[in-house]
Amino acid sequence: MIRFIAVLAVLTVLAGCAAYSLVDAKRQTIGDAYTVQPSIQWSKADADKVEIWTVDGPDLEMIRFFRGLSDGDRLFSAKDDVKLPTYNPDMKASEIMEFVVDSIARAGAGNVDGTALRPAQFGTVPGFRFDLSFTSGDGLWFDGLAIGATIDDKLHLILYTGARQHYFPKYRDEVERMIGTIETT
Amino acid sequence: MRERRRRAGGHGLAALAIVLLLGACAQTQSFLTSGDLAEKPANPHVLIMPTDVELSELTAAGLLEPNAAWTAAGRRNVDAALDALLAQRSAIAVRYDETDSAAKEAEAQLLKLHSVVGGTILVHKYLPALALPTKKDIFDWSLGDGATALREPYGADYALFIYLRDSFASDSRKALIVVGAVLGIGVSGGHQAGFASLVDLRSGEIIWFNRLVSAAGDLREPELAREATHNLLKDLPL
Amino acid sequence: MKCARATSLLTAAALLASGCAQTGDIQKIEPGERPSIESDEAGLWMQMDRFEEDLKTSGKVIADPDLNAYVRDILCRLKADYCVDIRIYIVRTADFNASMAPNGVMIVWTGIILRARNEAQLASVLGHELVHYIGRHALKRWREIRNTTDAAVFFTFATGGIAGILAGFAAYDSIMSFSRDMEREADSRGLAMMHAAGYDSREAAKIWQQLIKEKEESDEPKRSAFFSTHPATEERSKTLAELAAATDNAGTSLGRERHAAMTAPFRHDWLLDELRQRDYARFEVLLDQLSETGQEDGELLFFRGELHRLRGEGEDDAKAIAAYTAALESDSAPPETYRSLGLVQWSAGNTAATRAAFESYLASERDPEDRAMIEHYLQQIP
Repeated sequence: MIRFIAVLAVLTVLAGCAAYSLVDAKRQTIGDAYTVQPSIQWSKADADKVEIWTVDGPDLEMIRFFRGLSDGDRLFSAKDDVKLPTYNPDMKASEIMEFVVDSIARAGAGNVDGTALRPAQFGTVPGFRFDLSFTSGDGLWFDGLAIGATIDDKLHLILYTGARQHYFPKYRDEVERMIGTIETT
Repeated sequence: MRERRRRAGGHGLAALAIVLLLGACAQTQSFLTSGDLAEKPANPHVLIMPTDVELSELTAAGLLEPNAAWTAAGRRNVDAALDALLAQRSAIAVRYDETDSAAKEAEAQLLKLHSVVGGTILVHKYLPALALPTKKDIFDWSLGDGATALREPYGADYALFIYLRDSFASDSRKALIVVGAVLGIGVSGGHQAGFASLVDLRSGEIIWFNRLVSAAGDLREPELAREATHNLLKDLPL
Repeated sequence: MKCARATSLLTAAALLASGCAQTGDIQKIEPGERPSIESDEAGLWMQMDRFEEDLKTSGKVIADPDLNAYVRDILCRLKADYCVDIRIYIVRTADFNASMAPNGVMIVWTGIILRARNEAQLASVLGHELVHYIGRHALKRWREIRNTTDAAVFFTFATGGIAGILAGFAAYDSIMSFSRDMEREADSRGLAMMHAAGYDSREAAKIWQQLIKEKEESDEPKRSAFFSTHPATEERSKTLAELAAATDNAGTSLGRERHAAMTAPFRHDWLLDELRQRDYARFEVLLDQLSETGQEDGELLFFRGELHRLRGEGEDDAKAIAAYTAALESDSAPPETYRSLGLVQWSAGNTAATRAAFESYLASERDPEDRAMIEHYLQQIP
């Protein structure tokens, strides 16, 4: 994660602008596919196919909204010549969970486990949910929850992860509540 | 006999490198919690976490080559300075038990969490470009209930973490500094950088945090180590 | 160009000011020896000691007592007097290497344990690392390069946290690459050591031959940190074979059964790590090599199926189905085999077979924790 921040730091300092903007506690549009309504404020950072919301800092907890992954996309960015798991629209939920778990493992996490895969509503679109646990590159335990759906052959995924101690539990209820407010357009 | 030191700040090292590269020039800038400060006992018991001090030689190639003898001296000096400072404030210093604590999983996880929180504060509170709007004019980070893993065994009210790096120019680098000055390239002579945090173990909150960056000072000298320690901890709320 | 001029001035200043690097007269380390705190060696040890503390709680070390006892036992057979100074850490990673730090930390990657066909092959790797330790090669190398640009890589790992350090170690035998002379010395002395301990020294060349074959088949040989830092592997394998041919290996042991038994509980996880690399050609070669030792067992067949399922090109669906079916005929197919079979049958449009596979998955003795999803699939299938 520090590498992500380092890159972000260099880019934003060069661009002369701030990396994080404020997300107000009102309905927000994610990608062009759906909206959610947070009930607290978040700090948001934007990258290509993902936006990150955090309150205390992404290394402690963050919601990652993956905005429409398409055929051949990786979950996390890396150099072109590195082989990583890729998404394809024919994937069933089991294979999407495998794609996420394997990607997190390749990103340097240890003890990555995806559990309790089950059907779930993503707004009005039938989708899936699962739970996660892993250790960071330094050995700190993290918990996570994921909900996703394929809309128009693109994968929309909401991944909330945080340090097992204090941070994941801190906003879990808020994230669950917010998932209940998903409105697919 | 092999000496085992528990390190408190592994993750913080990478964050510190970033701060040094991109950070502001402010020498020290500390933060106090935005929340209410819980009442301080008359003689607070302060758990001193193993001081993560490392002294290195800055070689001509721009490398920090760690020096064990200097590091041992630096640690002794900083520890002595800490003891004196806390005694002045009627606090009781309790030393962390460093015997192989890899077996104590809960403690190890708590210390790792502290490293990540420290790194997060360094990045998001000291680099304006990365400031979090949700922390604007707010300083409220916590280690959560897990802090009792330290509170109970030690009977401590607070835990103090110190992280200091000091590097010195080797002779070859000193030659370069002269050369660099002639060419107009800033070749640094070695610098001192660190941070300290005070955790209220009753609530788990980080109630005070300070970063130190300075280009002068030498932790190998007891007097200068005392000065650096005092500088780092001058507005410690104890 | 200002930069070029500055660089040459920097080098000149470095050469003037540094004096000669002392590389001569480094004695081998004695059992129980520690460097004096004033020495440059102590600085290296201090850095490595800190890394070791982080490594212990990194979440990447396999703590299993039986596996650790096995690896330790091999080391102690090689050099009983040094074995108390060496702390072995078995680190879970798909790359194949073992790394020696100057303070006695030996990291053995699970990828090398997976690929060793027998105890003798693993012994050859451990013996090689031990020679680097006894010969103080890290210190020697550090003194050779500390004032050169090569030195930049040496301590930069310190800023990467544990992940950076492990990545650095994956690339090198130690915190930096050793010289060719040092590698040759480690090979030849290591071979002598394994032979003296009763292992068949011809196995030393074989593990590298196996790796070379894997590299040749890989879509992406550069990915391997090992190959990128050990380009002369063919030459090395040849030399090892020649050295072994000159020794009498009558009565020496391979330890194939013991190795298979000690590694069996972990093989599934380690194969999963390899699969996650998504280098299908290379994984296929690895599976071929692992099944050379006997009949292809249910676990290997399952992973062969996974390879085809994930690659999903051309004939892969049919091949996956064949592999899973063969796995299920054995008594060692992992429980997920039915689920994977179901997914591929579904993708291939075989609805009856899909239904059968998922129903079998749900009926298996271990209650699957993705039951809700599989039941959902069954409702979706026509």
